[in-house]
Amino acid sequence: MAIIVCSYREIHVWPKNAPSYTALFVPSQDQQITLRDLTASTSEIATRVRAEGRIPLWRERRNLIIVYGFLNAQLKEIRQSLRIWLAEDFAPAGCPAFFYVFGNTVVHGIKEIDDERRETWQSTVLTFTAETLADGLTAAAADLLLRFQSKDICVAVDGDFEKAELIKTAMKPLEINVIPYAKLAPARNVEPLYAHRDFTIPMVLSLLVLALLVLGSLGFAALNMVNARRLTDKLQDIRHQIESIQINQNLGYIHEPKPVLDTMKKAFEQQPSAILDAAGAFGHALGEIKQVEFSMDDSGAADMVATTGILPITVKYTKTYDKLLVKQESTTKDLLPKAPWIRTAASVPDYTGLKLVLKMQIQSPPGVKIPSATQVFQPVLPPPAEDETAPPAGETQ
Amino acid sequence: MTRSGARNLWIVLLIALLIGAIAAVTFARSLGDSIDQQNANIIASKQELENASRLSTQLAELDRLTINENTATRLEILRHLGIEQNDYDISIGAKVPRTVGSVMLSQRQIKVVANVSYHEAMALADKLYDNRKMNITGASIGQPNLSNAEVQVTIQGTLYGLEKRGGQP
Repeated sequence: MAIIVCSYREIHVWPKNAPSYTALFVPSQDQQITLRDLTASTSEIATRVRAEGRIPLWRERRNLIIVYGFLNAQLKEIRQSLRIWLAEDFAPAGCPAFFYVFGNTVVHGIKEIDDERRETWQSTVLTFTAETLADGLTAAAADLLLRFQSKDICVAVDGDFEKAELIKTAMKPLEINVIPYAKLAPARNVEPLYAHRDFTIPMVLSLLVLALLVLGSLGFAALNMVNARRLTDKLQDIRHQIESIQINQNLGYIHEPKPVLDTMKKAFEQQPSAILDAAGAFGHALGEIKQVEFSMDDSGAADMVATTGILPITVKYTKTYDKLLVKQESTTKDLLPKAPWIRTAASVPDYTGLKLVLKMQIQSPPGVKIPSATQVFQPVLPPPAEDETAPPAGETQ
Repeated sequence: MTRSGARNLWIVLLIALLIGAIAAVTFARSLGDSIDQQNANIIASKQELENASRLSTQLAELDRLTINENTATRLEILRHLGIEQNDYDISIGAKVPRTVGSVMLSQRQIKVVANVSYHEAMALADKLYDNRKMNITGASIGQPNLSNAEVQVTIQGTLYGLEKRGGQP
């Protein structure tokens, strides 16, 4: 704790670069002002005593407002925390006089009791030289011993150990105890005349927080700027792509080509070679084929293809290997499991002189593709003349 | 620095930083709004690009699949089908107009009869089917001729035509 000793006009002791200060204010008696009938408010007191911007140092005592003086302008501007007390606030209880030694400066106070038994302190600042300090203090203390007939006079020395020992030695004949000033504390029932705190750290912290906020905001803005630029580039790229698309000049007048394309879509999904070939390969086991045909113009064929994907196909025969219908049926039943794309096969009546007309329904089941013509089909040539009932050699069914 | 000097400096810096922060946040938010708008524009532009791309593709496909009614001679039709070099027996029906939406689409029935080997017959049928320039509605294949092993294949279908303007894009 660094101690400042000051009066209204002058600062007597001011150690520099301390983190916080305690100031002892030594008022002069001629500047003290006593006010009555006032509530304890610094602004009202300042108005009453015409402070004119100065801060009055006051204390309420026995329903009186006693203004001890004004805050020194230099002390007001100290950034460190500061608490200003009266010098007598540090005097121990029952002490009639004190000497506080700060280097060669001594704050000296004497308690006086007036006719109404009210205690008042008269304090002053004494300045000695290093050589005269101990002797001067001893002489003054000796006078006070005679005056008060009490050895409770307080002598406190701040800091300097050698000086404290010197004063202690000088005071020894008077049997006055010399104590370090650090052992003294303000009386419990008094408040400081003035106090302010050091707001440097909160100020710096608040500035740091705000700086971080600014940096964060700038970062956010920069990120958004980069994103906005990226999106602008992306938009321009899409625009260029749109501009680069060349709409067909021949049919540019058509705005909705999809319905036209739908109208033109394939009538069936399987290649015609596979359909004809599969039907021919299947039907060849029954006889000599005259023709294999399918047509979407047949009754119901187009609807059947559109709804079920099944295509009806007709195989016409000029000759059958088996004359017995049951044998034809048996052969067909044997063949059907081997050709899963033939859904049904049934003979239909014919009145044009053909031996047999077989109506088949052909559809490629999911996952099965009808084999291509080169795999299953050989040219439909008539069987050898010597064995008309046997199937032709090379049939792969 | 004195207490009041420090306080004044703090106030000035505080106000400056506050103004800076508010300005930066306002700027960032305006950029955020701009980003939202850009995103909406990008979504709309992507849709526009997709539509334009789809339209271009569909028009190109339509152009490829149809004949030009302004120049629809028999030779042009054969060229369109890619069989102008063959001596197939080809019959082309009359043009039948049909309206699809706001488009006038012409249809012609076409029948191709060819006496070729079995494999050529299969290849012809698949060629006409795969290039989609003719919508095959029926086909038949007959018994082979024992002298030259040729079969008679008949392929029927529909040919489509449109009024085309100008040349290729």
